[in-house]
Amino acid sequence: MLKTTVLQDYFMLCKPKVIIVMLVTTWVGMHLATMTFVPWDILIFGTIGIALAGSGAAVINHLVDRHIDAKMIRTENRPIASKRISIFQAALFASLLAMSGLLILSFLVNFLTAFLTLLTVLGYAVLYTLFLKRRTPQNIVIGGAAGAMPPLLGWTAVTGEIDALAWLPVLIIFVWTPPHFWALAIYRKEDYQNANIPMLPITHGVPFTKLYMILYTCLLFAITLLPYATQMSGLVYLITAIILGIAFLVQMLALYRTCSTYMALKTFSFSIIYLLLLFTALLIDHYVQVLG
Amino acid sequence: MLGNLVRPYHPKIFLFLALITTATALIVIGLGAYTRLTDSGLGCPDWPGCYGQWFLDHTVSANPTINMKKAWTEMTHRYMAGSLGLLITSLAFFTLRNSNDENSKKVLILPIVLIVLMLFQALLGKWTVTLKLLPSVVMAHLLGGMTTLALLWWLTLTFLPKIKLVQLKYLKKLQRWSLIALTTLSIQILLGGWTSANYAALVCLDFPFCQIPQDFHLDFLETFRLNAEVAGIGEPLTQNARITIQLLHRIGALFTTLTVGGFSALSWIYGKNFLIRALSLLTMFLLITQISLGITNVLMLLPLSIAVAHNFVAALLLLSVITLMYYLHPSHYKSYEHH
Repeated sequence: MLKTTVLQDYFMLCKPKVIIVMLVTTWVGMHLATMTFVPWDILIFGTIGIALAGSGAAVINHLVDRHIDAKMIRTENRPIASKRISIFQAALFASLLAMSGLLILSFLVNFLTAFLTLLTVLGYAVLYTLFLKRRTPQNIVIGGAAGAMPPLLGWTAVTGEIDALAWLPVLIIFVWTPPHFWALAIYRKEDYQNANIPMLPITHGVPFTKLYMILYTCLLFAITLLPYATQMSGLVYLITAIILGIAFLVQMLALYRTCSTYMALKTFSFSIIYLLLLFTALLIDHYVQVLG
Repeated sequence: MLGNLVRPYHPKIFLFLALITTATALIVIGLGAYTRLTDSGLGCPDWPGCYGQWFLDHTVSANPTINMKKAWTEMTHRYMAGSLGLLITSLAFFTLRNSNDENSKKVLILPIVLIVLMLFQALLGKWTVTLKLLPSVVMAHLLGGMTTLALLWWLTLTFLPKIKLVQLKYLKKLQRWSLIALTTLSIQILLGGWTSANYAALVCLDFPFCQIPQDFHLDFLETFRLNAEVAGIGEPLTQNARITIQLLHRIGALFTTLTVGGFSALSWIYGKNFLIRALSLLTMFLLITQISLGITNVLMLLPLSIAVAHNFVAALLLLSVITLMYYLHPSHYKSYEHH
C-alpha cells in the first residue's frame, strides 16, 4: 500500500494530464511530417523521450511552486508541498527524467530533436520560471513558446530537419496559450495575487484580460485557417477549424459578459477540448489526404 | 540511504567548490577554442577513447600516420571536460542535498539544469567527432559551453556573502539596459560561433569594410542554413553566405559595442558605489580588448593566440556583464524608507 502511494506521488509530479495533451500534439506533428506512416521506432522512442523530458520540466515546476502550492487548499496536498517527497528527491527525479529523455532522443531518434527538446526545457525552466513568470504580465505569452514546441519536436523526430510547415501547429498552440491560460488565471486570481505573480487579470484587471482573450481568439481563428491556406490540410480540417473557432469565440463572448468565475473554469476546460479536437482534425484530415 | 550521507556544510565550502568549477569551465572553453583553432577536433577519430584507448601510449605513437600533437590536444580537452563533468555533478549534488525551504528558486533549478546541460555537452562533444565537425554541432557545442559557464557563474554568485548597497536613482533603467546588453552579447557570441563553425573568419581580409567580390549579394536564407556541412564532406555554405555571416558578425560587434559599452558607461555614471563602478570598468576594459582582438584576427590572418583569446575574452565579457546584472538586482539594495 505504501509503495503504490510513493509511486503515485512521483507519477503526480510529472503532471500526467498536461503531458498527455502535449503528446497528442507531438503525435500530430509526427504524422503531418510524412506522407507515409511514421516509423514505429520513431513513434515509440520519440514519444517516450519527449514525454520524459516534458515530465522533467513538470517536476521542476512543482519544485518551484511548492510555496504557492502549500498555501492553497486546492494544491496543498501535492507531493512536494506536503513534504512527502523531499526537495532533493524531486530534484534528482527531475534531472534523471530530463537526462534519460535526452539520451533516448539522442541515440534512438535524432540529434536535432534532442537539441530542440533541450532548448524547450531550458526555455521553460530558466527563461519562464526564473525570469518571466514573476516579472511581466506577458509571462505566459512569451513563455508559451516553450509549451508550443511539441508538434515541432514530433515533426523533426520524423524528418530530422525543420520545415516551414512544421511551424504551423506550433503557431496555433502559441496563440492558443494566452486565452487558455488567462481563463485559469481569472479563476485562480486570488491565488496568484497571494503568490505575488503578476498575471494579467491582477495587473490590468479582469475585463481587460477578457478583452485580450477575445482578441487572441480572433487571431487564433485566423491562424487555424493557415493549414488549409498553405494546402497542408484539406476541407475536413477547414470545416472543423471553422466550427471549433466559432464555438471558442462564442465561449469567450459568454465569458466576457458574465462575472462568474465558474465560467472562467469552464472556458479553461473548453480550451483544452478545443485544442485536442483541432489537432485530431489535423490528423484525420492528413490521413484522408494520404489514403484518398 | 542518501539521508545520512551529507550534513549541512559551511557555506564557504560551496563557494570554494563553485569557484573551482567555474574556473575549470573557463579552462575547458579555452581548451575547446584551442582544439578547434589548431584543427585538432578530429585528432581522435573515435569517441570517447582515442584510437580505442583511454590514454595514448606507444602503440598509438608508433604509428607514423597519427598526428600525436593533435590527438593529445583533443584528449586534453576531453580529460578536462570530464573533470568538469565530475565537478558539476558534485556541486549539483551537494547544493541540492543541502537545499531547504528557504532556498531561492535558482539554487534549486540551476543545479538540475547544469547536470542536464553537461550531459548534452558530452553528447555534442561526441557528435563533433562522429559527425566530422558539422557546423551546427560545433556551434551548439560552443553555445552549450558558454551557457554552462554563465549558469555556473550565476550559481557561484549566489553563494557569495550577501551585501546591501545604498539605493540607486536609476536602478530600474540600469536593469533594463543590462538585459539589452546581455541579449546583444549573446546574439553576437552566436554569430561568432557560426562564423567560426563555417570557416568564415577570413572571407574578407579588410577592416572595417569587406573586399566584396563583384557578384556578391546578401544571402540570409543560405547564411542560416543549419544543415550546412564542411567542405570536402558535404555541401558547405556558399561563399556569399560566408561573407554575409562575416558582415553580420561585424555589424553585431557594432551593436554590442553600443549596448554593452552604453550599459557599462551608464553603470559607471549612475552606480554610485565602488562595486558597480569597478564592474563597469572591467566590462568596458574587456569590451575594448575583445574588439581589438577581433580586428587583429582579421588583419593578421587569424593568429592562433589571438583567435583563442578572442573566444576566451568573449567568455569573460559574458561573465562580467552577468556579474554587473546580478549586482543591479533590487535585492542587493536597501529599500527606500517610507516615513
